[in-house]
Amino acid sequence: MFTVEKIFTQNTGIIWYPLLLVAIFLLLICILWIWGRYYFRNDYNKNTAQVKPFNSGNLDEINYPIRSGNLYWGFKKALESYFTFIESLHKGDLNDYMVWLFLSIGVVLLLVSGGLL
Amino acid sequence: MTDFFLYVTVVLLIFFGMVALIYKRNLIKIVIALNIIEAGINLLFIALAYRPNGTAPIFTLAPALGELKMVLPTPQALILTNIVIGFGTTALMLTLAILTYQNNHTLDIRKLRGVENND
Amino acid sequence: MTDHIPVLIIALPLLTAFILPIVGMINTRLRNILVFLVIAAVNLMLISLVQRVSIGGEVLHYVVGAADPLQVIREGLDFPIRIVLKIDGFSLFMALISGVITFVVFLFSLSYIKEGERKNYYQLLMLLIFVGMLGMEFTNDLFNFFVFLEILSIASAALVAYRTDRKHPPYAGYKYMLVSAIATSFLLMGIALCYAQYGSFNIDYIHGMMKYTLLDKMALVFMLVPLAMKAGAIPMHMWVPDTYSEAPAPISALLKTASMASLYGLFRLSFSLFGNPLEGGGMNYHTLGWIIIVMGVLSMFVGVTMALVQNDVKRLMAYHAVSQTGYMLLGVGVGIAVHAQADGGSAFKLFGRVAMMGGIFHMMNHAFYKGLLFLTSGVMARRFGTRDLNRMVGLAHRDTFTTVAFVIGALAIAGIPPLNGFSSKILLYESVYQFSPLLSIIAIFVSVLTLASFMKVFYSAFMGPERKDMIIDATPVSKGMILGMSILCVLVVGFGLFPDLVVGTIVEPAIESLVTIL
Repeated sequence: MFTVEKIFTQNTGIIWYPLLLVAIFLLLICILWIWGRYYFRNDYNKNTAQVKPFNSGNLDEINYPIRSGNLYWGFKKALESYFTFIESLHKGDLNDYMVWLFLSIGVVLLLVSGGLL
Repeated sequence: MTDFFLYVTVVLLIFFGMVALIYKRNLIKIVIALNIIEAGINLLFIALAYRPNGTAPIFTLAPALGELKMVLPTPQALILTNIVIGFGTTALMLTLAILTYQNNHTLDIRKLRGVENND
Repeated sequence: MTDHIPVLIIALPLLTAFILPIVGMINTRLRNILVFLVIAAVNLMLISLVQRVSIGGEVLHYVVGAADPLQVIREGLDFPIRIVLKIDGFSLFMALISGVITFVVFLFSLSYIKEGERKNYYQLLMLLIFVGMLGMEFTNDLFNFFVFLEILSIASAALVAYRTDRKHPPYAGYKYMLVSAIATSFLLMGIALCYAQYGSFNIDYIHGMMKYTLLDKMALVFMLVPLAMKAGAIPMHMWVPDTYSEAPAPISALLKTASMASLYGLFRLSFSLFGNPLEGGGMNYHTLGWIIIVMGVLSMFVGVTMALVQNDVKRLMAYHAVSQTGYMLLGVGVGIAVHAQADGGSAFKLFGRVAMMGGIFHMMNHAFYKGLLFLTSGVMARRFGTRDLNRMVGLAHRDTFTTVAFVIGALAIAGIPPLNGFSSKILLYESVYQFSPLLSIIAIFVSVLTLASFMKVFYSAFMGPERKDMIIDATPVSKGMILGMSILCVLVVGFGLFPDLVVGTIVEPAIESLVTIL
């Protein structure tokens, strides 16, 4: 019977046992937990501002999360030209869909038939 | 020679339908363009199945056939299926076009893009 | 009785679908039980076939309407007539995916869709989608394939436009129907070109007669490109986010599986109909493989970069559907490209098989974790009354189970071990690296971007303070929804922990039946 490990060993020598990975992960968590119980700092005080998230000095109850539209702003800014181009292709115009379909059929036809059409 | 003109008609029908799909911006006209393409494909099937000087493909005629040929029956049955499917498709698309008009008060796809403001 | 299982699997849901409105008028509870029984029965029949087809390597034929349904070619004839159903490993593999997802979607929509919202027709159309998928996967007849694809398309378009009182769904349904209708029209043209030469619609018969003329190449293109469009490959993918985002959430999960059935058609036709590359020299299979690879890589990259900038949760997930389809195309494209090489198939034995295995195993994994994610997106969209991520916050405070399900799905789609996304992606990375290292690196990079964009959803919708004022619908998640999501969670985790079992039992026979040349 076929097994994943055999193929992997044949290709690159990686052995992939998911259960072993999970076992190691659980073992690490146990070690961390036991270690943490003795050595993590326990000098914090509950029910003070110490356990609340830091809000740049705003002390309201509501903290202000970054809205999802502003996440990865730098990434978008760095690739702005790419995104303006790629978003201009996704305007939801039905005619565009059809143009792309006919173009792809034409191009694939030329390639598959060896340009002899 | 008739065959040749049939296939030219098929190509022209499909080509005109494709042009209309690329350039027309009205939801109803797009449905019509689709129907033209479907008509072209139906005609292609019928043209494939046609035999010059053939008789109708009726089973009881078969023994008395002699020199005569029959046109192929299978594609005709399939084309009947395809016409029915095309009817269903057209009906559904026109229904959706009516509903789109009721909800958006336009049939122009340039005003209907609905990507930017999607709530 | 066991001989008739292939046709029963298709006929049972088809006939039940049309008596549903009558049963629904009498008693809605009875209708739910009926649909449950039918879907469960079909699933049981599919599972009962695993022993014979996948493990035993048997290929089941069934001639619909013949006196002896098991006899494919009648005496006195040398070609098959009537519609022939054929179940081999790959068909059964795809049918199992469809069955599981339909079952889960049925459980989820039991209470997600309210009784007043024309639920009779909802369940009818859901069963028709199921029939369409099963029919496409089981049939060995080109025209029958077309008919089931149309059944699937019409039922799906009606369900995309299900909420007709809202602004956008009817137009989304119109788009879906137009794309499907134009794709199936071109598919029919390809079928006509095949029929013109060989006078038959039977896939195996045409494959045996194949002469690789110019018309055959045209037929191949007219069949493959529209099927790629239905599967949502770049550059014909723009309809995917428009339609998936407007459909009700469980239907988005079902639509994803439906487009997987089109992908099945693409693979099936390129191998079982046209694929005899080791002998027939007429067709340039290396080019075809590279076309599919380029489509796949572009789908992965453009899909994920577009997903990264979306603010609509379901559009984001739909772009990920495009991106993940790229992995499957990449895997099978590498398989096709090296299958055709002049080295007698040694490269195919070395890594081409593994690449195809990864691509096809990814179809199953993708159906499960993307289904799970679409279901959780339904809970999110219902809670906040919007799909806009900017207006969601702090869902983890109230919906713990949904949060856990979302995290499992998000980690699986990003390919984090030990979930199932990783177990198929590692097969792809390993084998594609031997074909071309650049493609493998792109695939890994796309996985990283996938994780980034799901971090964004998790951060926006689940993290943050609890805001009771932003929650519109506070009804708790019902038992059916929890059951549906937990089935998928168990499958996602289980397939990640025991990949060799799944690969050996159903994926390996699927590859065998796909690449075996008769």
